[in-house]
Amino acid sequence: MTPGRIPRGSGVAAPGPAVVPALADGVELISQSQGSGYRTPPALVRRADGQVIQLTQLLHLVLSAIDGQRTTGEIAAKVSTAYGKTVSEDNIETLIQTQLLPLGLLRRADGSQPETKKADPLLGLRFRHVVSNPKHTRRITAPFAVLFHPVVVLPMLAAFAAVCWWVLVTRGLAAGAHQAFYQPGLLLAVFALTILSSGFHEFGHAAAARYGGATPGVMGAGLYLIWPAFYTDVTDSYRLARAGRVRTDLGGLYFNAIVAVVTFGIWGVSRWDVWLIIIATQILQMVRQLAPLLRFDGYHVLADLTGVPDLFARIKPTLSGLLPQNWRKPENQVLKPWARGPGC
Amino acid sequence: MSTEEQSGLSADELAAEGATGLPDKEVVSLLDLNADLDLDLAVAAPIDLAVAANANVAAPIDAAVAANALSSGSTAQALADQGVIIDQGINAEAIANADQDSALDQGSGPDLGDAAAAGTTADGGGSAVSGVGETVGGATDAVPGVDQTVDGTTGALDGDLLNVDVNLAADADLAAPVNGAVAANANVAAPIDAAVAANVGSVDSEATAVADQDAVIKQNIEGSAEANADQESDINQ
Repeated sequence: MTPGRIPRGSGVAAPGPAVVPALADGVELISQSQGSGYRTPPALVRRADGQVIQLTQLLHLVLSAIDGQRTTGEIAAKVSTAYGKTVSEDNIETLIQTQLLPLGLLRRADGSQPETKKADPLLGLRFRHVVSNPKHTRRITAPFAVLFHPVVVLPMLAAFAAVCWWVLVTRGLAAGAHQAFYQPGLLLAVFALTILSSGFHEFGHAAAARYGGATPGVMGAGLYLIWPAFYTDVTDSYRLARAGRVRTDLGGLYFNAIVAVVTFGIWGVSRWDVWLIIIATQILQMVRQLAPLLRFDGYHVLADLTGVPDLFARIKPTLSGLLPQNWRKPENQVLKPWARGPGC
Repeated sequence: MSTEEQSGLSADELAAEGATGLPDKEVVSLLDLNADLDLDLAVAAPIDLAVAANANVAAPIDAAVAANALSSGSTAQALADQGVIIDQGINAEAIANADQDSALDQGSGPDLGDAAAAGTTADGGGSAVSGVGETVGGATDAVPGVDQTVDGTTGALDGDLLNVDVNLAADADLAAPVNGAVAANANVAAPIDAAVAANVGSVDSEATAVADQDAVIKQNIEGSAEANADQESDINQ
């Protein structure tokens, strides 16, 4: 049976044609969002263009029942069983026409692929220049995934803590700064190495996503607000459980910590105090990345800890929900109470 | 089966269903290292500089270029004739003294800011280069003496240090007294003579360029350039 509108039944007179909807090419039903901050955890689906869409439970059931073979009547019967309430054929057609087709998740009535447009997020990256496509990203970050094994992580974090204490409290940075002053070339070297470490930071995100079972996407450079920035697409990490998502978010910071520990080792051999400046820049980068504002790592950590991936989009409804007249409105009940805090 | 069951979900229930496109999860790391290195730095970087120089420079330049390009039966001739007599003499003394005495006491953080004192004296004794005589041709340029005095500069900074996109600043006790003295005597003569003749895309043409330059340059400095910079810093942070 081909997708699109076909005659209902087999020669039985019918008031109109039956519809056999079919998924658009590349649409992938991921799963129910794990560790969600929503009272009813939404389900996730991913389009061929990479856009991840969060669906309510009924829409997800409808989408799951669509296999290119079932008519809307058959879909209604299947969904009713799974949903626990009667969902009529008209309901299914309404949901298809008003929700699933505009989202580009289904083929059009004539069987053609839908036109899709990705969401343009607030405070997103502009002027992207792709450096590494998903295939290359997977290949070059694969060796680093082993660094997330607990046997490596725990000693590395302990070493990083010790290095931080020693550099910031015991040794100080005066000697390194002094050396950089007298040899300005070293300052440029610090600058260059800090930029390189930013690239390595991105490797950390990609490797963490891979370690968790997600597939990292493109890596590249772009303009974030006014600043040039490296970026890694880890959209696929939406499919991971909370721990895997947070690991992906913190992977970049973990790689900064690795750079700091390795730099300390180089200082141990060379005794050039200017290396300590690089350790300081790593710590600074990490502290700044933890800021929950903009879309730094701290924002992603907060979003994944609370299970509200569209945190910025929830700010307005959450704030308006604070007004007494809105307390009992259903849209104010979408998030779990503890998930509303970050939205404010 | 009740009527409600047959009719399915209400319009309100359907309206409650919805979908949201999630933003692509792009983790970024900015290349602006505009952080503040709030690390209680105590840095003392007294810089003392003294430069004294006497210089005689004579650079007569003579050039002649003739070219035929995409031409037929054409002639290009260029002649540059430069005759220069340069007589330069310096009988001078350039002295630069930079005395710096810094006593720094930085209270916070690692104690590296210590007292530093530096004194540098550079004497450029009188040197005389007399007479550079050459025969070539061209323009004449004579810069007679240059006397410069740069006074010592004192800067006590409390704040941004390595603001190189590396956010190295914040609560840094930084004292950077810089002291510099420069004294210079210079004679510069750079007569330039050039002739260019060219035929481009020509037939049976003749291009001739003649540049004739005679210059007599006499430069003399009798004087002294003296730069003294005394700096005394007593910084307590």
